[in-house]
Amino acid sequence: MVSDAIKVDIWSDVQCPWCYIGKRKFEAGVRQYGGVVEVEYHSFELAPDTPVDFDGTPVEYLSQRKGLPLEQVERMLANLTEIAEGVELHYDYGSVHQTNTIKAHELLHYAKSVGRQLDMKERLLKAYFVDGRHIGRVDDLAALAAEIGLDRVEVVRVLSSGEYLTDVKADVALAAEYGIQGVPFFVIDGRYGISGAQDAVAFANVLAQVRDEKVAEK
Amino acid sequence: MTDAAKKPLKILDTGTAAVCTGDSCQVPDHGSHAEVNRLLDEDAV
Repeated sequence: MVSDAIKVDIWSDVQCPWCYIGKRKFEAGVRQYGGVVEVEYHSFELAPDTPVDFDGTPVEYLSQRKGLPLEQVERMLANLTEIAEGVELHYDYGSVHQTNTIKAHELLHYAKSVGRQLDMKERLLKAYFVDGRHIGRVDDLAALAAEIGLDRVEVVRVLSSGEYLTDVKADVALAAEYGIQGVPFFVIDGRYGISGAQDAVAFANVLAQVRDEKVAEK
Repeated sequence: MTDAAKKPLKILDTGTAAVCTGDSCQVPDHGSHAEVNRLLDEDAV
């Protein structure tokens, strides 16, 4: 039997503001589409050289990295926060802990192995952008994992051992193979690529197109 | 990942949408961000 579910592979980073906004828009698109969609998240590191404990705010981080005035970065993030509100996400850049996301990606791979990746992804994004939680340290990540019912001790073990690091790197390598340079990036049924936080209707239309193609191929 | 993952992707023209590249996060077609985006894009982290 051929599954009617459409597989969507999504590359994103957990400290990517457009990835969270894009996630909400994609979810709305799936609702508009109305069919069954199977989602798998893949790792993409936007700033792999960021220290786990960056000593400063996101405004200071961007200002330092880009040589932009603090006021300019503040305006940029204020605008971004306003856009996030449009999809009912309440970003709080004043409490964000800029960090390295490699361990968060490892956790997402562990969560996938126990069938909880989607819940973990949502928890990590909300933790970072809304709740002001640290998502770079093993103990903090284990606490977040425990909040969705994962085994804290096991999470500490797998993150400390780096057991899922190769899976993270494999995702990054596959992204490069695809030519993915920015996130979010959506791969629909392994055949179509969509870049960016598109409007919901764009996702709905593509999903419907793929459904029709799959029906025609049967 | 699906078996089809190794095939070349057809990139759909769904219009420009916001993406993050490096630590640059763009807001296409958003006038007030144009200058910030230009500056952020220049060193394309």
